Amino acid sequence: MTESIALLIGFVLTLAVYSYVVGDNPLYRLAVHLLVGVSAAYAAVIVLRQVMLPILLEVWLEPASGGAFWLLPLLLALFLLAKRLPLVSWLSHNTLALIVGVGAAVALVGAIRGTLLPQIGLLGNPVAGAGPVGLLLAALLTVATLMAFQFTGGQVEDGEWKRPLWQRGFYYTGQTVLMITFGALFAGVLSTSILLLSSRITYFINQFLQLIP
Amino acid sequence: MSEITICRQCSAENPVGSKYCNNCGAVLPPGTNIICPECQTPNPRNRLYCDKCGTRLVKEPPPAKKAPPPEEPPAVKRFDLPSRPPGDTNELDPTAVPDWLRTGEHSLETTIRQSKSDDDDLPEPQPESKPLVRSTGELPDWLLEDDEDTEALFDTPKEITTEHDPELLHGPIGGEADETADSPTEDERDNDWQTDSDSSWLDELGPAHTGTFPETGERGRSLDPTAGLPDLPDWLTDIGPAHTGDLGAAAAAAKGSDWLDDFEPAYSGPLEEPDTPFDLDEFGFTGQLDDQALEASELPDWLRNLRTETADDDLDSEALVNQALADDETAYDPASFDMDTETSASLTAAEDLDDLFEDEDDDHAYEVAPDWLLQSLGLDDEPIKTVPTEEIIASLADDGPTAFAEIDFLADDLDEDEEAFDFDAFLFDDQPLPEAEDTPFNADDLFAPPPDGDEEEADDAPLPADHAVLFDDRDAPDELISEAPDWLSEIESEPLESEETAESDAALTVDEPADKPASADLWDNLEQTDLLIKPDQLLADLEEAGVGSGDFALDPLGLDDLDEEDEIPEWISQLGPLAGDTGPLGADDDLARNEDLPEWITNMMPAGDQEGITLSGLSLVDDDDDYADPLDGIPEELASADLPDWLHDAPAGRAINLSADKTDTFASDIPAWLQQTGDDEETAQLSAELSDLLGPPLHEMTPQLRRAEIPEWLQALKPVELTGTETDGYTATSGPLSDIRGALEIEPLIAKPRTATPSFLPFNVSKEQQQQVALLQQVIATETESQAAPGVQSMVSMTPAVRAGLALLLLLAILLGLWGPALFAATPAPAPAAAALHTAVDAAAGQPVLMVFDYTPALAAELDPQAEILLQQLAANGSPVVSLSQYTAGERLADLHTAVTHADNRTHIGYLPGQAIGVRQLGYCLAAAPTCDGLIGPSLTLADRQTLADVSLIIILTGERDSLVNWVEQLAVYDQLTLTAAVTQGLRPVAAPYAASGQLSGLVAGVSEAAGYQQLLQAPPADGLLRQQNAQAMAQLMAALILLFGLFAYARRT
Repeated sequence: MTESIALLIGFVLTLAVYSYVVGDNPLYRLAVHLLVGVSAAYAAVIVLRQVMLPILLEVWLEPASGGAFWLLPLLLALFLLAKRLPLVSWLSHNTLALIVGVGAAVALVGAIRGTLLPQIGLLGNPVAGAGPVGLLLAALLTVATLMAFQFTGGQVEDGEWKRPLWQRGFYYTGQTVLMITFGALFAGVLSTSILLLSSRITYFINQFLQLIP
Repeated sequence: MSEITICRQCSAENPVGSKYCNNCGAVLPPGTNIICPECQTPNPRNRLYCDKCGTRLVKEPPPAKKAPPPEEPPAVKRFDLPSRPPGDTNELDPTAVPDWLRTGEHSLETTIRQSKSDDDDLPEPQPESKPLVRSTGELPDWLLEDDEDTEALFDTPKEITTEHDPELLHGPIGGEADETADSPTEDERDNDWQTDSDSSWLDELGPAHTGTFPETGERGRSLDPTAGLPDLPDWLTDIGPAHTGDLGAAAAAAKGSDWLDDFEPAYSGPLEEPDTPFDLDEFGFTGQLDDQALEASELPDWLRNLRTETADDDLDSEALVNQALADDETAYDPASFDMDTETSASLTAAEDLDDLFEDEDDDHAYEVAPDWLLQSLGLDDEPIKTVPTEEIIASLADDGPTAFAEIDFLADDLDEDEEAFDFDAFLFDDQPLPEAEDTPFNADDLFAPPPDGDEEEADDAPLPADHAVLFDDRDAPDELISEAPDWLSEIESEPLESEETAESDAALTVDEPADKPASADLWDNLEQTDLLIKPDQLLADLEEAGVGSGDFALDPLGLDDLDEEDEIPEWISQLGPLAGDTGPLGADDDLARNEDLPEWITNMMPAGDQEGITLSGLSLVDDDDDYADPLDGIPEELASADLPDWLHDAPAGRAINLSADKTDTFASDIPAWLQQTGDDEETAQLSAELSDLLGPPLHEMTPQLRRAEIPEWLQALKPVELTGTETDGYTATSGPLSDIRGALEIEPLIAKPRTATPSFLPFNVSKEQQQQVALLQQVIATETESQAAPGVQSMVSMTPAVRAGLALLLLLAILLGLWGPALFAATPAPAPAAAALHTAVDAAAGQPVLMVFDYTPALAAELDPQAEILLQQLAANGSPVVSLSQYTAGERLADLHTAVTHADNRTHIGYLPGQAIGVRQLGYCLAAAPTCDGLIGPSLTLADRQTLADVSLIIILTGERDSLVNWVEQLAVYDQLTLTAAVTQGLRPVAAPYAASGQLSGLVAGVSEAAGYQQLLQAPPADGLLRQQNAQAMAQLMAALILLFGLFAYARRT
């Protein structure tokens, strides 16, 4: 019974979410708010349970062994809460600076070492690609895509600004690559969405069929 | 008023004046505004003037209705037009202002203050009274006669009316205030006019002179000396009290004035028997002797006081007077007075006091004598004593000086012989003064009747020396001198050189004794007892009364005796040059020789050879039948309104012809007699000063008066309404300069467009700037076009229907794919990346494998099959599973999936916070287990840390790019770690490069690859997975068709 009610609630909420197809409506908003609320609450519970409590227990139970290490992070975390208090909001600035700074540094290093350099290294790895022509083509398309966002230089002809002639080829090539990329991403998203819909339909049909005696 | 307008639709606040709501675009109500009547601009309600044009928006409230005051309060000072160009004040010397001007100013202010304080005493105006109009033909000839040498400033009026009397009555300036306080009501003036015996200046003189005189109920004047004096100019004020008390004889001769009316009975009766030894009627104590006529209410105060103070005395004083009359009555011609008929009749009916006192019968005496007289004689309480008249006179003569020195000269003890004063000689003797210098002023004329004989003889009668002492102010105490006006204190009497004057008993001679007489204190006494009569005032009184005007040749100011200019009073000398060839004041022979007379005095004279006296402009012609009122022939508003009080009181200038070439701007403000001296620059300056003190005339300027010359600069500022001509100049319409022409116009330069002037520094536009501008314009134009695309507009409007239709189409395609024909349900071949994954999983068999569940239930439909396939493979390989997730929701999925396949061989770390940082930290643990003290958040046991250290394969299950990138980038440094991924179909473009670069050792993307991966496991693909693949394919086909249809529709619209 409980599973049936849960299934029914899940089905109604699913329809409510899909009701956005015809436009924004209270059912959709209700379902979204409910989803966000439940997700946030679930995330809070997970964080408290799996992150904060272990740290606090360590600080409380084993302050000498390593709990003191967490005093500064806890203090910085408390400073984050001060962001909502106008009078002491400045306390959160250092914490945010630390988070953003460290995160940016880690992400930057990771991007360089984990994405840029490995992708550049593909040129020397003929096994991974389609050969030198394909790699050269990929490089040219990448450059063409970057040149599509270049707006300096050029001249005015008949009251219309025009790019330099040598940039126009890269510009149009880059725009084509971008369109293909965006189309591929859209197609992947669309495929995923259709699969989710079909899985939902399959799920509910299977569940409702199971309820039928 | 609020400066916002609330929108009716969304209740948003909008600035006042907004037509549309800034929030929802709804039309805002116009609001309550005040529309400017001029420019129709709506103004907020709290505006008083229009914001645009400055027009007053709210009408001024109507003035509160109040009873119109009978008269406007007197204005102290009015705006005077400058007499000279601005800044030209070099000639003004403050020290040149004479004393009399300063005194006049003080008197003016004093008078104004007094007039304000006496407003309650003002008689109520009678606007309904009809002005009396008389023809000027009734005026005497001398008043109508023009001087040949001068041209009248104004023409002789044809009519004289009293319609302006109310204005003058309440006039604020100088003497008008005096008039207000003292002048009679209009009815009374009418009566006065009809009787032709009263004049305003006499009215004004009256109270000052009659400080102790009785209050006449008819006129209603207050004869309190303290109340009357402030209304008079200083010099009159100083003089006034001296007249009081003993002005009888002189004032009795005055005719027509109210206060002088009190004396009329004394002189109204003809003296048929000049030899009568004593006639009280002639002395002023007369009246009808019947009881009714002698009621106390009819008696003047001074008589009432007199009788009271003399109650204890005998009739010696009367006898004295009687004797005096007997001696000198020949010079007294009662017929020369214009007697009032009624008074004369009553006087005729009166009985002589001789008869009264000769009656031995007390009862008879009581019956005949009036009560007041009986009381004064002390007979009201006790039987009357019959005293012979001779004794009375003798007794009075013995105590003459003392008696005259004291106001109660009749009351004091006459029997005292303290003073060796021959009163008979004092009064009537012809013996010359032994050591005195005669002045052309003789107060004896006021006290004594003319001497016996004809008038010539009477005029020749010398004055007693002691009498002259009365008027010798040099012997007066300093205090009294200081109180006297300047001109009087400065006068030094000189011996009378004029024979005619000296011989005339009417000529009042002021003698200067060589030494101080025995009765040196007489002056003091007279001053204190108001017995002293100042010479000029006495003459003024005489002139007013018209007594013997032709018989007197007077020099009222003693100017005949002034040989040197410095002896002339300062104020006279400053008025104008002395003209020696002008006619004297009536006394041709005498005054003509006096060349020191100022011109203005000579001009005061009646024209030609008429005999008469002129005192301060008062002209009395020698015509017994025509005692001209100085006011005759001059409209009262002209005659009195412009004169200062001190001049107004003395009727100066009323018979003066004004100079024809006089162009003084302030002709209307300056007395005519002053304008006569316009040739003298100094005098003109003084006149201007005087006019400034007096202010402009209160009445409307008559056509006869010349208009003032207005400076050009002031003329330019004259309002258009007054000029009647429009000029090209700007005329202000509001503000303090409203209606002023020629004012500088205030204009907002910013709001007024002007022609652009070429700039000396032209703006240079570079090519780059031009390109940027063109680019921006192009972008803007493109944006505008895209927003205005009709297709997009129509699609937006059809979105719900299209969306619903598309949703239905996709739903049908999915359903068709799930339970329809398996058009796309063929098992695909496994992809190389999937095969690499299979190989990597198999390579990690028996070793812990890290399964990262970085996806939420939203992607569970696509990733859960992949997770299940991989877990089955791991379980089949005997590899323990370490599960975690960077998503809180993924942690639960990890727990659920691992629990099915690896219930006893798994390590569930759970949630891994910190994203990239957390992954980095986990990498340390995975790569170098000895340095891994633990992860952020999840507590790791030693076994857990060892398990992590043993992990060689990492399978990333995610549908998010960030999650995949974080894992790939952060763990790329650890070469010993093998990264594989199972992602959604949509994330394949992101994961494919990493798979191509080898960073991902294996990759499975989407349901189709999962079905191919399942073939690698040597197991048939799950039915559900194939239906999902078929449904997805059907839906993608449907979507492709919709996109093509939409593209076609869009292309057709555009």
